Amino acid sequence: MYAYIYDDFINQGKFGKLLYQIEKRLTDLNLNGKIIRLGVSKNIKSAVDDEIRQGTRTIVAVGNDKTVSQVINHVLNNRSDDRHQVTLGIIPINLKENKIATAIGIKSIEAACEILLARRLEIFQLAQINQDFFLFKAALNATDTILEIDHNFIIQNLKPALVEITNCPFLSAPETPDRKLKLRIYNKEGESMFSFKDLLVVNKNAAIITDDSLAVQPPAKIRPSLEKIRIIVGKERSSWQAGLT
Amino acid sequence: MFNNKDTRENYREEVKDAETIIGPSVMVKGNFNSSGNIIIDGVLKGGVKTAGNIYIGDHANITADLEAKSARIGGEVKGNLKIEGHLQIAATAKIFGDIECSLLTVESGAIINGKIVMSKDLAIEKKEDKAEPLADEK
Repeated sequence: MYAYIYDDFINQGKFGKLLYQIEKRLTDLNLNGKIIRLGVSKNIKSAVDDEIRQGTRTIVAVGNDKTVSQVINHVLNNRSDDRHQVTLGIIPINLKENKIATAIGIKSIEAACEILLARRLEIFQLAQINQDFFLFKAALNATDTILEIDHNFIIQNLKPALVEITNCPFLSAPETPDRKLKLRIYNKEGESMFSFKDLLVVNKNAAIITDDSLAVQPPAKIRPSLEKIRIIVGKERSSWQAGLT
Repeated sequence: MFNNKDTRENYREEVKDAETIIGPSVMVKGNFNSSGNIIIDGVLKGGVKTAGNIYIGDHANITADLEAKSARIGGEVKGNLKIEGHLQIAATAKIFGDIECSLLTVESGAIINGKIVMSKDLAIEKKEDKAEPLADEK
C-alpha cells in the first residue's frame, strides 16, 4: 500500500497539470495509492502518524527537500515499532529544491515514478540534531559560533565562517564501529576539519539548517544516530557530497 | 632546507590525509587526542597527543604540550614537545619549552628556548613493548 503525501505548496494551481501527469503515470504503473494533501486541515505529522498506525508500508513524499526531511523526522520520531517497517519514496517537484532526491539518483519527475516501480532499496543511517534527524548535512553561516567537541575541547571562530557538519548516510560506505561525523569550518582564510561523536553548537544569532531545509535553533547537540531509514533510490545515485553542495 | 616551499609542501603532502585541520582564524582550547595526522595553522591552547604526524604552519600559535610520531614546526609553540621520531624545526619557528625526540633537524633562524634531549629510547621502547608478548610465548 502506497501513501502519497503532497506538500501544501503543490496545491497551487500551477502544479495541477504536473500532478495530473504524475498520477496518470503512477496509475499506468499500477502504483496508485492513497493521496494525502497537506493544508490547513492536515499537517505532515498527523499524516505520517496516521499512515504508520494504519500499517502503510511505503510513504512517498511529493514535494521538496523540506517535505522529505519532515517525513523522515516524523517517521523516526513516531513511537510505534511499526516505524521500522516504513519505506520512503520521493517524487521531487522542483529539482532545484530537491537535492536529497538528486543525491539518491532521482534526476527527474518521470524517473521518480519508474524508480518507485523498480523499488531499489537502500538503508540510510541518520545523524541526530537535538530531537531531529538529518541525512547529509547541517550548516550554520554566522559569527560568534562556539563548538564543543566530545566534551574535550572548544573551537571558536575568530572571523565569520560557514560551519558545516556532514554525515555519510550510506551503509555501503566503509562502516566503523565508532562512526563519526565531520565538522568543517570555512572562511576566507582557509578551512578547518574535525571528526567527532558529539558536538555542541552554540550561537545566539543564527539557526542551523539541516539538509538545506529545516531550521534548528542552537544550542544544538549533534551526533551520529543509530536510527536508520529505508529509501527507494535510483540506479545511479550520485556521490552524496555532490548531491548537497 | 625544509622551509623552502617544496619541502614545506612535501611535508604537508605527508599529512594530506589529516584527520584534523585547525585552520587560520580558528582557536581551539582543550585537550586534543587523535590517532591521525594533524595540521595546525591557527591558535591552540591546551594539549595535543596523536599517534600520527603533526604539521604546524608558520603562522600557528600554540600554547600546549605536544606528543606525536613526527612533527614539523613552523610557528610559535609554548610547551614541551615529545616526538617519537623526526622533529623538523623551520626557520620561522619559535619554541619555548623542552624537546624530546629521536631525530632532529633545525633550520638556521629558528628560536629554541628549552632543553633538548635526543633519545632513541622513544622508538626502542615501542619496539620492546611489541617484542614482549613473543618473549612470554617462549
